[in-house]
Amino acid sequence: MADWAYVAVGFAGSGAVVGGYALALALRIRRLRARPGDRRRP
Amino acid sequence: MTRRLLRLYPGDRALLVAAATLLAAGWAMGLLWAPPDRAQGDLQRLMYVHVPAAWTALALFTTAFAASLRVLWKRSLNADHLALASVEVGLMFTALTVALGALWGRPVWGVWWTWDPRLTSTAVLFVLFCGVLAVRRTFEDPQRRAMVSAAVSVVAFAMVPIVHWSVVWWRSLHQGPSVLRLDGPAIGGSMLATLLVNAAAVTLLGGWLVMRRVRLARLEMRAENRRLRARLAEVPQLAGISPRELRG
Repeated sequence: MADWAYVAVGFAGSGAVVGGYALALALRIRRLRARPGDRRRP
Repeated sequence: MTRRLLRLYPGDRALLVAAATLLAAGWAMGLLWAPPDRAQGDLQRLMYVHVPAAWTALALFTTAFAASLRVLWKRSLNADHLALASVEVGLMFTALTVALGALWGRPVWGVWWTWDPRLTSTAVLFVLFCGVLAVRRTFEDPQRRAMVSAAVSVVAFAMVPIVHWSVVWWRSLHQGPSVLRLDGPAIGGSMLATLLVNAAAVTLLGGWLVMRRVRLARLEMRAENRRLRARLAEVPQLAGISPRELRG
């Protein structure tokens, strides 16, 4: 049973990391597309 | 909302659908179909996420190396975007590999981490490619940033064969190669099939993430150029000069 807990954490954790990264990319792409003027000044 | 968030091009979408389908099949095979290992029991199923992540990371660092050579040869900013994307996604998969290895090592080896040749060389590889991203942040000029980070990537790539051969060259707690062997794979047919399906899925997923990251890099460069153009327009003597001309 303990073995399956490690397996579950491994599979779910992998999904969460890759899914989180893909979501972060999507949000950053959307932010740049949403503001074509990009009014921010450094 | 989801459609707006993803807003995928047809090529992106096909790759994502293929990766997701293969991954669903691979995970089902890994969790339900493949038999448990005789020595490690069900824990060995972690191999189906750990090994594909490791292979994909090494493949992406190899892609970054090839793109970096092109940057150094042709001064191509497109190749620089590919190199950046491959390094960033490769680092994500390397971190995942190390975390999954720790999760697997704790019950099997009794420790989360040990200074074993394979683990240590992977840690050095991770730090070196983190260095590539750090170096990128120190240059504002895209051309210089591309050239310097390409040079660092080429140096960092030297660790890739060392990571691969570490289990052969030195005495290692980590198991040796079990698929890429001259005398054929050392794992059973159903386990091998499951591993290969998962490896194909994660490779496609890695490719999709790289495509998305390249797209983001292009958008970032356009935004950077727009900002620069707006600042140039504020200086009468420089109005009309393009960012590219200014960078010369």
